[in-house]
Amino acid sequence: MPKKQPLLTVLNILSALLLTGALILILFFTPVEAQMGAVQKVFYFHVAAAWAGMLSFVVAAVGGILYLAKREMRWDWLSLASIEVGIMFGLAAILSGMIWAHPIWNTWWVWEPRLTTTAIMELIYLAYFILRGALNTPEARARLGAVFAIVSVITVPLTFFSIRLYRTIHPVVFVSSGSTAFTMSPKMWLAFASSLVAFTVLLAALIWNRTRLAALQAHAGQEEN
Amino acid sequence: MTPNTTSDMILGFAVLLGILLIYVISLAIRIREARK
Repeated sequence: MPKKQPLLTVLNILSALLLTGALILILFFTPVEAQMGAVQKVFYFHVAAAWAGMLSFVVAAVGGILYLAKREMRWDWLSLASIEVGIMFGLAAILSGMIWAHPIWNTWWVWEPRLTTTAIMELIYLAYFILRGALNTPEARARLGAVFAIVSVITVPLTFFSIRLYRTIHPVVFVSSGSTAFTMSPKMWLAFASSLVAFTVLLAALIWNRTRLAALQAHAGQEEN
Repeated sequence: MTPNTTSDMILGFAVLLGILLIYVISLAIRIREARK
């Protein structure tokens, strides 16, 4: 049976501590934004969750490339783990964004470029599990899953750059000017950077844990997707 | 005047962290099952 590595335990504890630290920073040390009020604080975790989701899909594509190159199942497990974790982060980003949008845009959902491309990205990656479920052998699942992970990663830059390429009402963080540009004070930047770090470490911990689960299932001869 | 959107903030964090928590619990249960 694959053993749990001590570094994974350290990563699990570190991610919990960083997440708690970032939450404390957001709730107690960042100023309340004048136009939106307290709901703006959701933004820090919303963006961090979206970032973690997108990074996860890129890791899945890297896992797919490595599987096709080396034909080792561990790369398929990495790809599978990254997509599952990425979908979870994507869902968290979409729902928290909708809760922010309700008082700010006066609607839960708008079919504008960022929201639409995010929904498409999420649905495409959900289809990954339908594809794997339809295949009988682990090798077929790994091979076609790898191709799927590589091809579908195109939705990541499409989603990321959608608010820069098209006219949109979605706020843009990393720009200095424009009608949808969102400017932050130093305290806000600190909370934002802390959230990004916390979610990146959490992403690494979750992918590692999910990869370990796939290894355990393969060792036990259990059916997995 | 700054609008009072505190309840929306609480809902936002509850949903986001709730999804994370449910996923972590599901992962822990599945790992425990696979280890048996």
